[in-house]
Order: sequence, then C-alpha cells, then structure tokens
Amino acid sequence: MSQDLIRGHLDGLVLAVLRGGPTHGYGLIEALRDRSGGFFDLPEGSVYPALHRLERAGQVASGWSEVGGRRRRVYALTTAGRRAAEQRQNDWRSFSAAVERVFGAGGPTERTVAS
Amino acid sequence: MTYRSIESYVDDLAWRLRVGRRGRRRIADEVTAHLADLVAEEEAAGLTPQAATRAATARFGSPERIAAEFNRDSALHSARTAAWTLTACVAMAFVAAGFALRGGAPAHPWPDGRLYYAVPALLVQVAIFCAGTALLLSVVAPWLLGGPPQGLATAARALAAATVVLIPVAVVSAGNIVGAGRLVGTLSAFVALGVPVATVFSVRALLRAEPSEGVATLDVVADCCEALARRWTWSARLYSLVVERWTEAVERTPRLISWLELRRHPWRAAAVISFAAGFTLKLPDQLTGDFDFPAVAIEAVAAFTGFAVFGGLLGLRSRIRAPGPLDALGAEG
Repeated sequence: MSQDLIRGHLDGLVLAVLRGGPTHGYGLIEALRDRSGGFFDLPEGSVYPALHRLERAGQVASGWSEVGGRRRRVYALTTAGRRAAEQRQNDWRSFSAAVERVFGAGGPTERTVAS
Repeated sequence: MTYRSIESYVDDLAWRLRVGRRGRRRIADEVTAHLADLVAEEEAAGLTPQAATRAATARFGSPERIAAEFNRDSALHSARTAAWTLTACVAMAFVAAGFALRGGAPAHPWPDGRLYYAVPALLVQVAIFCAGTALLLSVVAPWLLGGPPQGLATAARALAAATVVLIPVAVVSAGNIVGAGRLVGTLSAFVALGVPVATVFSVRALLRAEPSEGVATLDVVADCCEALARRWTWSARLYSLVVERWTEAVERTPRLISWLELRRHPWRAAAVISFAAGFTLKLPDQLTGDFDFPAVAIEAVAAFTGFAVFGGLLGLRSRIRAPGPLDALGAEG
C-alpha cells in the first residue's frame, strides 16, 4: 500500500490507537506498527503533524509528563475525539465493506476478443 | 541526508518550520524526546552511538517533509481564522454603511462626510469578493470535499488583498465609533478591532503557505458544485438539469455560449458577466421605473475593472488546459 494512501487515513488511525488510552508519539507509532502487524511502517515523524492537527481540532489534548525518567508529551482523546474516532471507524467499515463487495463480486465473464 | 547528532537533525527541522516561536520550541522538544527513545532502542540493538543516531534520524523521516506538513497546517489555521474574521468585518462594515445611510451616521463624520460614505461604498464590494474567495478555498471547499485544502496560496493572496482593501474602512470606522449612534458605533468598533486581528493572521497565512499551492478557483467552485449535487436527491436532479440544458445550449449556439465560458474566454465572459452584474445591482431601481442606464454602466465597468485587477490574484483567470494527444486518443476511443 502506498504511503500516500496511508497518510490519507493517518488522522483516523491515530484516533483509533488513542482509543486504547493516552500515549506519547513514540508509543503511538509503536502501537500503530504492532496493531497493523508491521504493515504501517511510516516515517515516525509523520505522526506529529497529525497529532498537532487533531489537537487544534479539539479531538486530542496533550501535556508534558515524566515517563520512564524522560520528559514526553502525552496525548489523549477528548470527548469530541472519541466521537470522531467512532465516526471514522463506521465510515471506514461501510467503505471497506462496499469495496469488498465490488472486488468479491468478480468481473464479467472473460471473453476472448478476436483480433 | 545523514545527521551526526539529534541536535543537528532538530536544528535542521526547526530552521524549516514556519509555525511561530512557541510552536517551533514545542515541536523541537517533542522530536528531541522521540529521537532519544529511538537512539536508545537502536543502541540496545547493538549499534554504536553514531550509527544509532543515523538510524534513528532516518527512521524519523525527512525534516523537509515533516516541516512542510506542519507549515501547511499552520498556514491553513491562520487562513481560516483570517477568512472568518474578514468575512465578519465585511458583513459588519456593509450593515454599518446601510444604517449610516438611513440616519445612523454621526453628526460630524470623520474625516469628512464624503470620505465617510465613499470609502465603505467603494472598498467593501471588493473586500466581499476577496474574503469570499478565501473563505471558499480555506473553509467551505475542504469541508465539502472532505480533503486537504486546494489553493492555500490563492486563499492567502485573497486574504492579503481583502485586508489591504479593508484597512481604510477600519481607519474610518475607528474615527467614527464615538460620534455615531449605538448600533453603528458598535459595528464600527467591531470593524476597527477585527481588521487588525485579521491582518496578523493574513500575514501569517501568506508567509506560511507554500507558493506552489495555488489553484484555479473555478476548478474548486466546480468541485464544490459537484459535491453539493451529490449530497441530496433534489440537488443531483437540479445539477443534471443545469448540465443538460447547458450542453444543449452549447450544441445549438456554440458561439453565443462562448461569451459566457469563463474558462475558455476569460475576458469575453467577464465583460458579459460584469454587464449582467451591473444590471442586477440596479434591478430594484429599474423595477420601480427608474431606468438609470449610466448607473448600470458604472457598476458594470467597476465589476470588469475588479476582474482585471483581482482576477489573476484570486485564481479566476486560468483557462482550461488545451487537450493533449492522450485526451484526443481517449475521445476517439
């Protein structure tokens, strides 16, 4: 899958990971990689613009805290973010089910074209 | 590009960021913490400190690309704030000018009566088009099309134009807050305060938007119309009805319709649309029997002059791309 295609869904993926609980950028990219079985192996810095964008939209809140002796910015879903995550999940399920139906239906019977 | 230390990577990223001092510091701190984790992970896997730093910065991604995404989001935020503020200011200035004409004006307008009435009358119309274009590109189109904004640079230019045009209106409004009635005074105060705020955000949007992000505004308008048509059954019917009628008209009278096609003949179509706009603006007077044709001509010339001066800036003068050899093949096939 191309990275551009993943980027188009990055905000939704970030919200989905944060539904599991607050985390920092490093933990988020690890969770994204683990939960996708290594499929989403993005440049790690690409989650930060998404996190800042979601924070600006009021879907994520953040604050500095000490984790494992290091100072890190921890992100958590807000109520609006939780709603947005559910909405995106539903939208994606409808979309992927429709795509699956189209792919699963198979094409028209192949015919040999006489040249 | 490889980096020998976390600091050199963060410095390179910070140098590329156009997000304000506080935002830059916060991003730099977050990236430093993340890179420290990555370096520790790579060292635990057996790499030397130098090799671990190189691996960590490579895993983090290109600073150029990350900074570009931060800059685009920041420009969009500034553009949206400026577009909303300017639109509100334009509406307030328009309403204030209307109430001033109906007796709400101060007894002794500042700097004098002629300027008090002429400045909003001349400039607010231009600001409506510029702020409207910016609002379309930065707020309405991303919401309707459900994707990243197209034409952020065009929106930023439109905002800058609207701001420049509204500054004299804000100055005149500020000079007449006290003397005017309560309603006109309140509206004037809003304009006087809102325009400087919008100026700050417009300048930020202009500085942070990538220059290559310009787009033909008419393409965005067309995309928005299609998106609106897809929303409801009635709008889909209306859209297909309009498209069918237009196609029929083009087939029947191609030369006549070419006078209305802004994408093929911008100047020709602008002349027709300007005359139609002038006629429509004076329609209330004409319906009451007051056929003031010089006034229609003045409005039409003003609209055409506006297109000539601001059309390129607002992305309204781009022509349809000439069909290439592949398009021709597709049409034949």
